Amino acid sequence: MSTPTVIAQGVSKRFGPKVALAGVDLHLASGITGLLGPNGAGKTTLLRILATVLAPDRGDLEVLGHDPSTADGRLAVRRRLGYLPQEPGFHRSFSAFEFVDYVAILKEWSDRRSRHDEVRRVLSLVGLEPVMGTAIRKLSGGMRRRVAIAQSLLGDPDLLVLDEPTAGLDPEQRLRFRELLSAVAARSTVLLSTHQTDDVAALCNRVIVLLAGEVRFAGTPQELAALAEGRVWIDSVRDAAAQLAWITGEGMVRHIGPPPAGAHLVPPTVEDGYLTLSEATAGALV
Amino acid sequence: MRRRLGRLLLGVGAAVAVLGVAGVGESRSGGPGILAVLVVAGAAWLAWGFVQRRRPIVASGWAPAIAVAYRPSSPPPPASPAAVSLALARVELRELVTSPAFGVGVGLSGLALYLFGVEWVGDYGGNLPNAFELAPILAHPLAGMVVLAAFRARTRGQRDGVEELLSTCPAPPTTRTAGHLLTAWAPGLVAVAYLLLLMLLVERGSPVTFGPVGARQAAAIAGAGLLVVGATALGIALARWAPWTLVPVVAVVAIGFLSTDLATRGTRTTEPLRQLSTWLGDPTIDVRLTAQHWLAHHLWILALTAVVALLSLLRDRRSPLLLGAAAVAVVAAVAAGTLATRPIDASDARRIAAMVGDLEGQPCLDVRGLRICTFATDRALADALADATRPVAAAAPPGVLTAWSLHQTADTDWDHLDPEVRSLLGGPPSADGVIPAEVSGHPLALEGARLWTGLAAAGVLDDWQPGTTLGLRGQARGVIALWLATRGADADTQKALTTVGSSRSPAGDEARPWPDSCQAGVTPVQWAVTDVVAARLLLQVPETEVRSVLAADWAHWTDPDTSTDDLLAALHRGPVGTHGMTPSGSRC
Repeated sequence: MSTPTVIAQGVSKRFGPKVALAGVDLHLASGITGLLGPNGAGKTTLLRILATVLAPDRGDLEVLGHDPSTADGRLAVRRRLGYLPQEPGFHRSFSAFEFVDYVAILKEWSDRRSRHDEVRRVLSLVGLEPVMGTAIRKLSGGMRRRVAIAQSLLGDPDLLVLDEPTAGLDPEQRLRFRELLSAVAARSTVLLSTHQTDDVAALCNRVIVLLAGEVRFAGTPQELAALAEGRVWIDSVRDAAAQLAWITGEGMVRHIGPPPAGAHLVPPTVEDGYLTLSEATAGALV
Repeated sequence: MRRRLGRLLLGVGAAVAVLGVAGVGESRSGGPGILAVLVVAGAAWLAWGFVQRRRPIVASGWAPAIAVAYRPSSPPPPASPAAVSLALARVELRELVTSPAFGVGVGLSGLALYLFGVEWVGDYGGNLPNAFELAPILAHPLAGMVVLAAFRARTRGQRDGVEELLSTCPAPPTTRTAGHLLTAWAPGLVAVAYLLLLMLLVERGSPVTFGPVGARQAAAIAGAGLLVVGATALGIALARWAPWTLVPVVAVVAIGFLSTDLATRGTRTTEPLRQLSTWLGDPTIDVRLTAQHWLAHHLWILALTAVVALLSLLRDRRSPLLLGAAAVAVVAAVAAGTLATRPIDASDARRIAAMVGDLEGQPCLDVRGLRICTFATDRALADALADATRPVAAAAPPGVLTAWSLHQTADTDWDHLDPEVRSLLGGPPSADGVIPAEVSGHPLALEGARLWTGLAAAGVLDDWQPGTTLGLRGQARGVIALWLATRGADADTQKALTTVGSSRSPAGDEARPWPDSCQAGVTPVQWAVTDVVAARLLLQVPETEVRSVLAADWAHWTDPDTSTDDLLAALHRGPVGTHGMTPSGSRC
């Protein structure tokens, strides 16, 4: 593993009585790291802390070699950070170009010409150059998402924190996004929070599973999938003993759980591993 | 740009439409229904905006392949906060000046420009110092809407849910606030340009203009610009400290009431607390008879602007530099406020006393014995009054006006003058031999001067006491006064002066020589309706014939015992009798 971009130790965060993060330990290095977890697991809170939106209540955090608890540290992090919030919001009267340009100014891009070049670059990366003069309110949901992605790419940040970037993207756009992200990850550290396990499987070289505010898994997608090794099988009828079962497109029933004797085991996927882990945490499977 | 222009014009249209529906600005002369046109234009823009919203959502694919198109970049070198603020200001300026709220302000200003620069331009009476110093009042609607526009611009991030994203950018909120503050010059400049245009319209549209325009008047216009700059800063400060939707509305209304209350405090021309209002002009008096500490007042507004601007920055950054600057601004505001509310300077009191009391020292024009005297700077007014009264004096026998003069003096009640001025004067200047006409360039004031001169020439004023109504019922001298007043006048004015019921006639509904019953107090003279009819009959007689008859025995015709019918008989006209009376009394 290369030099960590993010080191978190015992990071905790509460919102009133609710514990959002309970002592998260984390090491992120270059490449794409997927962050999986159910709703309410603390993913967005963790991303907000890494993006300097929130400060942790406890714990040590180092981002890009800086301590975000200090003003100077936060500034240094923000200068090398790209962030896509879960619900980014837009100035609806702005065009796509104007909005990204506005963010670029706040990213200290004061020289107009170079800034505009950069804005055009990131908009072309997400395929929006033809409509960059169109008001955001007139763009489709997927296109707005791409505007948000574009702003996060300004200046090729060293750390890219993306909260559910593929929400609202159609299949083609998701594939394009994967293509883009894989190119960006050659230079940057990317933390990708998603509910799309196939995105994780396709893109990430590491994956972290956050459950109930704690890191329950950190490893490769293959290692996550391996958690379900020997627990996934296919049959023509539903096995009542299985914890999860669904009919696949081929008409067969895919099961997760303790297999019966003689079951036709199949290789597990990242999704299987994640489900196994989350169900295990809930005490359902193991 | 077209989209933003539409947004701005939407605001303009809305403002004009609302005022149009409210009936503001209806032409006094029943002229073109410009408001109706503007209302229709506003409605059209609203419809255009509606159609725009209904347009289909744009969708576009994502191509070509990214791997081919991908070009790496790098972050910019860290820029100074000032450079970021300046770059941000360019964007925020565009947003501010194209916002609907600003559009409403521009719409209101445009309407005021039309009303006060075209439709009602005569109401300034040609007094340029007054026009300049009253003009800042008309910048207040723009200032109020700018508060709203600036507030909405600075809270846009919260409304649009963008704050989380923007908070992860290196530029801190203080830099963003500074960027917004740097836009304040533009609304200020718009205010200055608008008021200068208004002054140009006043100068061009008034029949006569007079009075010096100097530093004080220039400062008044600049001060209005400064006020709008302050309004921008206030909107931004409110956005930082109380970013709730209704806050700017409440603030604007509260400041509006407070300013109005301050500006109308007391009856003295230089009431100390008046200086703390957002405007200084007093429409009830020639501003030259007031001694506002105008420079201190503008410093007061400047200091307040600095205070609110620094407050907006202090919301997110309390550095020693900012705190120190805020402390200096507060001290400056207190000092300027104290200076502005100090008693009238002795030199000002002497100057005003001389203007009001030294009637003998005024430069005068001689119009066939009638002396027309104005302030030394107002020769153009004297010329206009001379032009108006010359035909009247010419129609009267020589010498009948030598005992009379028209003087420009305090156009307000004695009690409204500052105590220091009153003390220097000792009492109101003697009114002996002074025709009590309003000395102004207003067209109706010029008409009034003609009638007052006619009354003086006909000997009516010899019997009249200020504050009383003198009955001229059935007296030939009353008819002669009306006839004299019509000399040299155009047909409309002649008709107005000899028509009972004409709303603009001094001899009309309220039988008022001028300016109107509200300002004249008790109506000075009262005719029989038949006297007014007789005056109309005299208009049908050649002037030379009337003059000849009158000159033959002027003392007889101006004797109170000589009747209207006697005069008509001498001119070979049938009697009209004595019926009815023109109205009298004060009816505002």
